Amino acid sequence: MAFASKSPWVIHYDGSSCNGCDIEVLATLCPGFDGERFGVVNTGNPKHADIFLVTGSVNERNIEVVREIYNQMLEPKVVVACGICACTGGIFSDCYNVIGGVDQAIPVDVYAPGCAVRPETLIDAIVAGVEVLDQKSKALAEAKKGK
Amino acid sequence: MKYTTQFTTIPADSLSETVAACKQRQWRYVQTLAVNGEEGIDLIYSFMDMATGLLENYKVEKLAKGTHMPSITGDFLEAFVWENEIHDLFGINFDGIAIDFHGAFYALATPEPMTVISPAQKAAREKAAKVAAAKAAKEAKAKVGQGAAADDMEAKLAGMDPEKAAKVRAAMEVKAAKAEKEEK
Amino acid sequence: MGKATVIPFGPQHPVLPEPLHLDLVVEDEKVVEAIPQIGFVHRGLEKLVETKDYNQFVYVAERICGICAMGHSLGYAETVEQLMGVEVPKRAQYLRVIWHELSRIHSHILWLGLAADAFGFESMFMHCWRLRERVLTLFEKTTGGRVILSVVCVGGVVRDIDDAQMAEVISVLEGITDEYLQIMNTLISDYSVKNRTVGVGYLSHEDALELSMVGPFARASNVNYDVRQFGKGAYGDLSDFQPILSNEGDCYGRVVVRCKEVLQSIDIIKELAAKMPAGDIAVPVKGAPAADAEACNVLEQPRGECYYYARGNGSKYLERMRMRTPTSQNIAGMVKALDGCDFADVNMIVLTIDPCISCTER
Repeated sequence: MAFASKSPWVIHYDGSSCNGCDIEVLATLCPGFDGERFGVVNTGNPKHADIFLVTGSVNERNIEVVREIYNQMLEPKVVVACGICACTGGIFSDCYNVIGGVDQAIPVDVYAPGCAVRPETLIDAIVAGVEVLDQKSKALAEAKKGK
Repeated sequence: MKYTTQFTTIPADSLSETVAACKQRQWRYVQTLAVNGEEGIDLIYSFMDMATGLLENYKVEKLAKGTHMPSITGDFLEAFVWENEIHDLFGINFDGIAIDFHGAFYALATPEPMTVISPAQKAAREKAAKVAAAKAAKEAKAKVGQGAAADDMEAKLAGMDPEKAAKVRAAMEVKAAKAEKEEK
Repeated sequence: MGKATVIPFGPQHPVLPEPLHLDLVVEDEKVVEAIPQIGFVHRGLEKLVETKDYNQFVYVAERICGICAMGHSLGYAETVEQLMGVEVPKRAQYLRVIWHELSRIHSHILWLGLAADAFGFESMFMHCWRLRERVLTLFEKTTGGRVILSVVCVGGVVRDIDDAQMAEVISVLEGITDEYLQIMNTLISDYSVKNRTVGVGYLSHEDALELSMVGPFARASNVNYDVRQFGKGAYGDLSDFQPILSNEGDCYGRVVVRCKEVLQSIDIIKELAAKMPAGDIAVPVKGAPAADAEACNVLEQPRGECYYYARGNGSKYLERMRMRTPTSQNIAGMVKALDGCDFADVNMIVLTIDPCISCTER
């Protein structure tokens, strides 16, 4: 029985993003698209969060920060890469200070492309992320039972 | 108040006085930028005269990487952002920045990346130089060679079969008449 | 005398949409010094002029910042047009300004929501962003994109707004106005809002001039400067344009200035829509900028004056393209405003400069 998937809390962090995807992430949680009806709450504390919404590519300075936030989250956790810059680096992938998409720093579970990513895509991505969360939660419970 | 812009080149050692004069006249500081030109790094300082709407750009040209320039944060504190950035990206040293990050403003993988000339940029510059040189040579040739070309043609016609030469001459006349008509 | 502690603020913080790091030196509850550190969003996109020609670079310029996207593509296109001596048709100039003013409306309402969230007024945040959705729907109907519009090209604009769509734009804006006035009056006259914003982060007129601040941040300290006064492009056809100023100099003044600018933008759009000339929406641009040709341009973005510089090198790739964005100019002002404030007010003050760190760092 997975409680987290009934109300996944998200933490949002902007990597080296232009902000377009960030404001679409916030717009998804606002009354226009209302992600909050799925029980999604935007928290600022990594230890309270189940889903990590990352936007933007990673640059030299940001890669440690992204890893730090990911490491502080508790299992089971899911990472959603929002926007094409988070998936592959996007239009900036050959800039000198961009290392690449977020998967250069942390393992990603769901890729949501778009420039800027549309709120409809984000809702789909969060729902897909919740399924992955369910699976991970189940695997964790079984591992515990196995002990 | 009408908006106008101009670019003025100033020598590197007169920078501090020019900036202090702008401060005296209560001009507003707009920005500092650096350009990695072919012969060195140009710095452009912009100031706006709030009374007339003139945007003045002072250019300090062709500095080598590693040159020491005086900081203007004494007069305009907000320049610290640009001076730190230019230090990190281009390698110009500014002495006496009020808030100095000593190279840690941006964390960069390659030092002074804006001075790295990528193969694409080098190719583009070489191509542009070739095109410009070819154009100049063509223009020079056109001015000089108009007489010489006519002589060449006459020599060729003299050596040709007379019937053929007559046809060629007729064709040339038609072409000349057409060109004259088009010019009108 | 309290003991000084250094508290790191950011880069990840619920109130900050972007990563910015401040080391706050705090004594008891008062901030004595604030040392900013940026560099989390630096992508180095100004070097992309070498691989993307001057037409393709419009798309890169747009993506410097998602909130000011229209402004950056417009400023870039105007600078390159100046470099190459291209004259943009009147209709295209009007369309560009209409989209730019809509962008200003969406940016200010976005900011109002975030500022309300910064001091805990979350329901106001939700209301502002709900209202903003209507402006984004207008963007989607007229350009195809909600955030990144991709509608400006060197030489004009890519799409037209026909009369029916323009009438729809005007009617949506009029529909927003009533509800917006309710929000505005709550923010301006409510007791709790005033308690949290009046007297917080005060910067005097002299400070604002000394630090060369720009935008609504400076106009709240009574600095009479707005690039739209110069009357470039379609702004020159407005019957009257006066920058909105405030004497307050504190966070409250900045809220008031931005609230009123939204209403001013709605009026500008209505006036220009009524005067819209017929004609082409773009001129074809051929050739390349001359070697060593230079141009500079200023534009009033939602956050203030933005300076653009371009230099050509004879090929279709520009030699250098540079944007100096308003937030970077205002960083010194922000550091000064944080001096001596309460620790709990740091969020509010950082947000009132309307920081757009991705613009600053490009």
